[in-house]
Amino acid sequence: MAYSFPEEVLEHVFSFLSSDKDRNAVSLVCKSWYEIERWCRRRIFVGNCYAVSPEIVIRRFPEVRAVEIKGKPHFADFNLVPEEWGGYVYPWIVAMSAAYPLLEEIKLKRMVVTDESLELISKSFKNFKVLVLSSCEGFTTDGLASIAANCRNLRELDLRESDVEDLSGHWLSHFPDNYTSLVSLNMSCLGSEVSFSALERLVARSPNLRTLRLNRAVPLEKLPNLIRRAPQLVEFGTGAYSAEIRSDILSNLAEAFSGCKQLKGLSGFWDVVPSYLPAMYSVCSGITSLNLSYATIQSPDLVKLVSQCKNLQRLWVLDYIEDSGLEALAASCKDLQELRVFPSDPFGAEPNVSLTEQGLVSVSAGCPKLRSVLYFCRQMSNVALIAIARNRPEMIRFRLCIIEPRAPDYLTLEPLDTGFGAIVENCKQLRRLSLSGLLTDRVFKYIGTHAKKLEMLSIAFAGDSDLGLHHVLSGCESLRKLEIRDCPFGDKALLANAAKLETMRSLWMSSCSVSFGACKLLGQKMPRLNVEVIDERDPPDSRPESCPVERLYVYRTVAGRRVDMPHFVYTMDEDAALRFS
Amino acid sequence: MELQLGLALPNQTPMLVKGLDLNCAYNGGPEMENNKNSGFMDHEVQSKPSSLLLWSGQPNEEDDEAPEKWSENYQINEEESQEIVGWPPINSLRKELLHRCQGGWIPNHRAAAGRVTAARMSMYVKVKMEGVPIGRKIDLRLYNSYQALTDALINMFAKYTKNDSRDGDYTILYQDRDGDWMLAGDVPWETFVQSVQRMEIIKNGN
Repeated sequence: MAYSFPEEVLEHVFSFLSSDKDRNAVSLVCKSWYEIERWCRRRIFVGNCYAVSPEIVIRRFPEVRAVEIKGKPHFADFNLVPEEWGGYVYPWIVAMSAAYPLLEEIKLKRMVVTDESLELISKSFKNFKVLVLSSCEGFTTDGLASIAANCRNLRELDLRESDVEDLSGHWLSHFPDNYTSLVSLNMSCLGSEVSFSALERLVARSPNLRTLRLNRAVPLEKLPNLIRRAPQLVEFGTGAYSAEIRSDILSNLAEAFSGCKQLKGLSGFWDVVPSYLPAMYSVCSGITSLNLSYATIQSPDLVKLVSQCKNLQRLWVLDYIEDSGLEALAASCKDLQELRVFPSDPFGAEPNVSLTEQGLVSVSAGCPKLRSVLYFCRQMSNVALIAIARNRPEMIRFRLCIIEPRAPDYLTLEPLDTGFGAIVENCKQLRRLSLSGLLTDRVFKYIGTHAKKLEMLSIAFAGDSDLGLHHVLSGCESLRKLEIRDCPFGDKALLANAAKLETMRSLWMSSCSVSFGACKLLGQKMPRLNVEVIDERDPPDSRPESCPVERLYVYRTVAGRRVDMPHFVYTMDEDAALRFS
Repeated sequence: MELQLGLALPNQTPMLVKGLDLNCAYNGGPEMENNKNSGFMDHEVQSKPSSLLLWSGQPNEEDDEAPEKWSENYQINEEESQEIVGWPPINSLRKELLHRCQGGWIPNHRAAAGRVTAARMSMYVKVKMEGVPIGRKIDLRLYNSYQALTDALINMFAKYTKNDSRDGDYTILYQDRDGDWMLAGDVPWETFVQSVQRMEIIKNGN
């Protein structure tokens, strides 16, 4: 019988549950399971740093070893969240440094990380191993230097797409001479040159190094020596992939690459000179992940490269690949699971490449394992979307950006409702969807009816009325994150679905039709929601209550209102109601 | 009115709510009293106790002006500048890198980028061919003479031209820094590279 199990046995059983969802479910079974589970939870994920306080987390989970925290809303990536909005990690680090001396991992996304935070991390956790800063900002290479100098057991330092102030390339030389535990280093986002000799020495004394992503300042001529010191590399990101064309450089590089038998991922390729691409041909057959999204190479060269990578699972590429290149990809890469096509000239009025809906249709037809798509293009049709939906009903992530807002089906000039409708109707497992093009409320009816597994939805320049938003909020039962810009959705849909918001992580609405009065009402009546109006012009109460607010960010929280709001963020709670009325 | 208000909308007199129990709020609301016999309402109240407003099932009848207001905003935005903030959705880092890729490598002012020399700069210019709808961008840095450039362009646009095209069949014009259209080949290559803003390929004999 369950109750006679000793705690240690249950604890051991629970240790096999790695997903947060399962751990949460276990903790809801009974009081004793809740107690046992909370004492043995080693990893926590906080999807919104304002949804809970560090104190609450620490009180419930006293033995955490790994934390992952996210800060700003996703739209911050596109400059829709003002600077100084918040998302500061420092209070978390301070609290954790006191409570979790055995902490080993910190992964942060879209947070403000100061040098002070990094220094505190480097000195507080004796067995610290993993630091991943993804799209973070606020720190300099000095902060990285303290991590390098103090974290003797560091395995992974990943700066992803962070915005780091480059004070000096010498931070790498702060890794002590007897430091040998490095497994993964990603510094691709750094602007300035790093000390190359320090880098070379670091690579040479890291026998377990598997991932190395360099930055643009590392020249091609330096690559052969580096790679030769790390033939065990699995993922490699080049720096600038250009040099004066010389056969000795090419053959030297080709020979160095051929020694890397384990290589699975390649990225970088800034300023690429296509003549140097053949240097990698010898490793192409093992490559499963290829990020060419900074490589401005024309379609013929891309095709030559990609068609050598028969085992490719993930490709990120600029639209220079064109329809013809995607057709070649579809013909040669049968294991492809993820495709991202980025625009090379997103602000140009005229198309600069021949990339249309056809390229995506080809890939959906030719690559049976395709599950995840991000595709920027300038024209789309319902026929194409229907074909994609039928070709790949297993799709999990589908993000389509037609660059011109409200662009209709270019063949019929109709809205793209039926096309996106086909996507949600056929792809039953769809978890993430981004819409674009001309869309009416009908598409939201399809989404509300069919997209039962949808967790994140991004909407821009779409819909005709509140009905659209109402369909989504009342129909998408798994929805966790909803982000909307420039849509005529307003008070009625929002207020009618107020309870739904408590089941979600967050809602972002900017340039929509939600009134200040409705925000106030929502904030007053839903005490577990933080309702924040962002307005950089002047206080929203200086206008009539019926005026739409500039930006609205709503999220559930058990921590109450946040205390670090800048002057342009107005929180709508009962106090606010008193203040404003 | 189609819309059944459980709680006051902003432009209505705010209603006193007993505590925070939204069910109480519903039951206490005068408009609820009026609609007590409606089965639809009862159902809604039970299944969704914390809507602040009940969905009527009808699209916005009273605020027909809302979409208009919003499209006005959008147009004003568009008039001010062609670019819409945050659209297309490309993250700022990628945008910056893309900009650097195409506009040449502009070193971060904070960066000690002294060694990133002009030789490594990429120089992308747009090329259009007469009668071909889609232009290209090419990196001039990859060529060192008019001949190399011409060969590359003919190759690039080959599918739009006759198979036997030779460079004599076409003329390359370029717009210089002052905005004047010039004939490629009239000035030394280096001067051309420093001045060219865009190019156009014209078929001879037209």
